[in-house]
Amino acid sequence: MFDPLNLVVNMRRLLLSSIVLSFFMVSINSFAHQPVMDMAPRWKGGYGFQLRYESYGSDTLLDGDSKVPNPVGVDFFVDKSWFEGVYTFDRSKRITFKLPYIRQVRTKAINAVGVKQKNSGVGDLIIGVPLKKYFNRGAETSNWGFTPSLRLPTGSHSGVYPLSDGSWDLGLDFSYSKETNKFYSYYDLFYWHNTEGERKMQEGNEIGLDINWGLLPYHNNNTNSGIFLMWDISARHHDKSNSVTLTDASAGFRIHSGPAFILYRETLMFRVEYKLKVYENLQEIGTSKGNVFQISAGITF
Amino acid sequence: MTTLPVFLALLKLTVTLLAIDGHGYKHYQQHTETNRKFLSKGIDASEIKPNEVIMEVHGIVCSFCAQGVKKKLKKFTFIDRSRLNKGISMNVKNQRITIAIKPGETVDMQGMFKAILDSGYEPISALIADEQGNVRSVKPGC
Repeated sequence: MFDPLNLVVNMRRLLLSSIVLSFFMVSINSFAHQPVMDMAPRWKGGYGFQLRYESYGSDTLLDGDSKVPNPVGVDFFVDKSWFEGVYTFDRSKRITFKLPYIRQVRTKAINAVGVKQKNSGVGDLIIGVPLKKYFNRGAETSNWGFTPSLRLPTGSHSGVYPLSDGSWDLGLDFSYSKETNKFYSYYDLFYWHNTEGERKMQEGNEIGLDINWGLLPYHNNNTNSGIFLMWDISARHHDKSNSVTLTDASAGFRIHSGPAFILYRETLMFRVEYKLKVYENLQEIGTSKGNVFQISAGITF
Repeated sequence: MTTLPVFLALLKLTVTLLAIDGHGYKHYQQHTETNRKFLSKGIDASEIKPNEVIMEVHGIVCSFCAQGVKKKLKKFTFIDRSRLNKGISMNVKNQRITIAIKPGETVDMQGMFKAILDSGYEPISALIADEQGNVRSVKPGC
């Protein structure tokens, strides 16, 4: 039987899907899936915080996608501790912040000699405004998300190994996620437009895609606790930075993939993830990013 | 800098698009009506006990994400926190929320439907059983 209300609802969904898909063709974006920042809080007036530790780096020298000898011992290792927060105005509008504390150390080849450099401090603050469109249908919930972001130059851009290029950067992020009580999937496409900082450093624009597929193998209704098992695939393409840039930004294409384990109980969440380098092709000789380890804990109110 | 105008145009377009089908009470009524008509499986009256409400809520599939349901329902003084899990039990397998009611209390069903909506989910229907075990059905907006 013809139902005009249903037709209007379906047309709106089709319109939304078509336009969002067309956005994908124009530009891309993303941040890896994080329960406290993405799945919750979805309630009006909800807020949450997350501490996330991230570690990566290597002493593998690449020319394109080939490993080459590294007689000088060039390397770089980065630890980032993120303090992140989210406030939900209602399920379709949120605001987030992410502030890293960075510790970085590298060996750089200067006149064919390995020179150790290190730096630490607060990095660039990222402010995002996730806009989401939810669809709750029976035993599934899904949403389209669009997140404009701004990266502020709060990190130090001084010295020979700065924490930031000192620029204001613009981010665009499109995402789609779908969840049942057994399965979870998340697709996130992002684009960062990096502008030039005060010292004329510019790290180059970045495009990325994150895909998460997950299972919810255990849940206890009485204690509101359970676990998620996920597989994460991350692809990144980074444009070449300009010649005066002193940060670790390196141009190329990278794919990382690995498992994530999430444990939750009531409003608390714990997440651990290890992503292996699957493919890396640098535009010039440089250090591989290596494998990526992340661990985080979050709480919602 | 060609990316900036594209960024601003996309931002304006998306905000406009989201506003078309925004998250308001009218939308809530329309959406729940659609869900009720085409997707609701209904609640079996035999599932309910005296002084309880059972609500069918679409989209509840993860209790970590659904903590807001408890937070929003907590404000209702007629909920009997001595029963169930502090008065509320969520079942993510069948999208049911069971709420324990204090004997003799008046239940604000429409207020609870609104609370579910504010927590990010779609209330579809509910059964309410009084002290004598008499069951009646309630739907959002009715």
